[in-house]
Amino acid sequence: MKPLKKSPKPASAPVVPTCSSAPLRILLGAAAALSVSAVHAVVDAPPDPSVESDAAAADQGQKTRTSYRYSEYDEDPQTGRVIGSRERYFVRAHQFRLDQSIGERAALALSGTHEVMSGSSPWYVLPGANGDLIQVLSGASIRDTRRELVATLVTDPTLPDHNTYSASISDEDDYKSLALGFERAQALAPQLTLGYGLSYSDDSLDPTDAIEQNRIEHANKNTASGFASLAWVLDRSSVLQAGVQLTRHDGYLSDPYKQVAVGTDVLRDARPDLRLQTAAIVRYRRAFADANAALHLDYRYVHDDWSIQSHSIELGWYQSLGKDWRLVPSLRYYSQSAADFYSAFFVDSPGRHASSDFRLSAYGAVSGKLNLRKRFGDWEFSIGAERYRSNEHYALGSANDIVPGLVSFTRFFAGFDYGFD
Amino acid sequence: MRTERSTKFKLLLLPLLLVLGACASTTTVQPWERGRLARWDMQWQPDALEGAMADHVKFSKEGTSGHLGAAGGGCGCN
Amino acid sequence: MLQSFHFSFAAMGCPCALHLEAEHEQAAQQAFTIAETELRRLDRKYSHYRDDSLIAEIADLAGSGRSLTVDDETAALLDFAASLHQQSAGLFDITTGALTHLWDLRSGSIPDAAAIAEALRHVGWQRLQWQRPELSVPVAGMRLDLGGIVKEYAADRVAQLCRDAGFSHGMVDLGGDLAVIGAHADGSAWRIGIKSPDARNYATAHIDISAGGLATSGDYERCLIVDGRRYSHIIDPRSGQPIESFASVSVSAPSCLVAGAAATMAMLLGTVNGANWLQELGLPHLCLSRLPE
Repeated sequence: MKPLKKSPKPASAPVVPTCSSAPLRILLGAAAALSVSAVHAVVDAPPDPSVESDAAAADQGQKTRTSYRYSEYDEDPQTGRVIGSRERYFVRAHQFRLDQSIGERAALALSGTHEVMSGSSPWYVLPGANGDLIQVLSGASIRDTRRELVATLVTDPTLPDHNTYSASISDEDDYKSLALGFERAQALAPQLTLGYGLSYSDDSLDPTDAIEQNRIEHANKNTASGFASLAWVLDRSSVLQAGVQLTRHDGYLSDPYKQVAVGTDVLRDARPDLRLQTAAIVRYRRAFADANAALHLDYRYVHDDWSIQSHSIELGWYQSLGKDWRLVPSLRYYSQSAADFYSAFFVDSPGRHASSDFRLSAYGAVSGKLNLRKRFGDWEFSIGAERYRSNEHYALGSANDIVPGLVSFTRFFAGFDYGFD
Repeated sequence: MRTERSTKFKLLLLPLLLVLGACASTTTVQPWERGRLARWDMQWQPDALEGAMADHVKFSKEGTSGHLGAAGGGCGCN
Repeated sequence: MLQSFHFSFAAMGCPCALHLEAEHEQAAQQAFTIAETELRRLDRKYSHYRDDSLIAEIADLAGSGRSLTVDDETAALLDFAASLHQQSAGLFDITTGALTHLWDLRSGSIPDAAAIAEALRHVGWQRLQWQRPELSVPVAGMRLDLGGIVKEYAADRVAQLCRDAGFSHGMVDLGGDLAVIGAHADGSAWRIGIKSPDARNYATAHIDISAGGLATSGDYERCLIVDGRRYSHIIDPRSGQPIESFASVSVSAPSCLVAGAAATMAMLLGTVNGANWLQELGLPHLCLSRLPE
């Protein structure tokens, strides 16, 4: 122990200074401006909207947040020669979401979707007499309702290491799905975050009009999926994430409503009962502080053992305009190759597996979306539209066969987010 | 066919690895310097509901899907 | 009949305690909740270790040319810092972040002259543009460290919120920065032991306070030791070097904020000027020094 000496004038006992020196008066004066009780009102006040550089950080601090979106999805009418109705799908959807933080320890999110679908869907393709293709669609309008509920619990959401547990249920007249998921984020180094997770879904199908239409009456399928990702903080304005997702589907993977023209017969859509899919994903986010904007760039490559490969690239620009407005334009390009058992129609026996589902064909799609958002205090209103066009000629690579059923659609959405403490 | 595909896959991975390699040498960004990264518009998915709907539509209408997260259940969408 | 309650907890990176005399446990628990909530709010707002804090937002502002409209509370803290900077002729400076970082307590080594010179280019309150309520930070890489004020301010805030909630006897201790809610129920003062710089659990002296606050600034809680030499965590913003000063200075004042500012200022001024300044200030104080080795 080192020897100590006390300062020349150690403190005596007085509690409040009796005289007030000049420097003390200045010190007390300066401190008086920081009145501890005057600030009291600030504690419960809503986030200060005058903080202009980061209007966004405020809405994440709110303890309760509710969101609602209404959307209308409208597919272009079927072109070319058809048998059945040209009127394709129209979907009206309502989405709700409630985000509730439970102290610092947990955050709970509940989201629900209610959507009503109507219209007709492509069944199969017949070759015409002069080499053209005839799309056969369901005649009468199909009408189905889907209800989905997703519950998500994040433990220690404010910490770098946190877990996410999710459960979801989706219910339609002819389809039910139950899914569970687990994800974990873990900081490996200050700049590096590892993410990984597993999920499992158990789906059952009960197609309508099974007997009349020669469809399977009941079937099951399961999906198991795992992913791992790494996210890097590159510098103070940018982050990059790269990862891989592996998915295994097994069970009845055919589409019970789709059929295949084989010679003069029309047979059921028949796909393998196993599908292994690998997706490699890179995401990049960059903030442009001077422009008060952020760039989003997402790329995804998918490969599966049905021999489909796809590339998708999406570019988004998040522009803040003043304190309250945000404009988010985005563009996306998608291209895929065909499954090895796909053909618009088959002249003779195709083997065990055959499908004429346009979703398994070689095609490309281009889409653009615009979203405008406006804040009013704790409210933020959002309105937007998306236009999506797919075409066999948009695909990467050599000239592709005509795919009559390819879908193009327009989507409108509007809604709000409301947050409070 | 198979070999061609795997070559393509490798070609895709190469730029990815280069990007990752470059990241390893970046200097440390301190927590207090991350204010910008915490912004709403810097999140992987800033708008949960719209993101879910956009993903759902593509999942229903395209031949492939995938994302870095737990996968949800399927649907009978046509 | 009032009972006494003690809560020990961690907040703002240090061990904290709330001492309270209350009617029953629920009441004491209520005060503790008030304290915890307020400390969490301030920690979240002024933390150096959160990417969503105001400090992070200000760091993001540095060199961008933009300005930030700050809330009243932050504005008052900045005004207080400005006043201290002026009074101490530039010694008290909340922009020494780059320097503090250089003299990292955990690194175990001393920075070289070039690094210090570089860091000094990012230091200096006068480089900030502070025109209440607008703040802009023209120099990229500059950052604010309100750590020297916020903890003391937080102690005062918690004491005030407890008084507002009807508690009149108690004391808040945030890692040695104390604010009195009110004297003991029998009217006696709180007796505070000042730790010896070298023997952690041994009280060198006692100070009695029944109102206001008491703060201690010293090199024994947080210091860097290289080759047996102590480097204080208090850095002179003009030279970039740690200050040779007292082992510790404790000051009692009408508020913890003033006590903390006075103690820090005395440390910054060094043994001779610091002692004189404290004398002139007229606040009760206790300075401990090491004998020359």
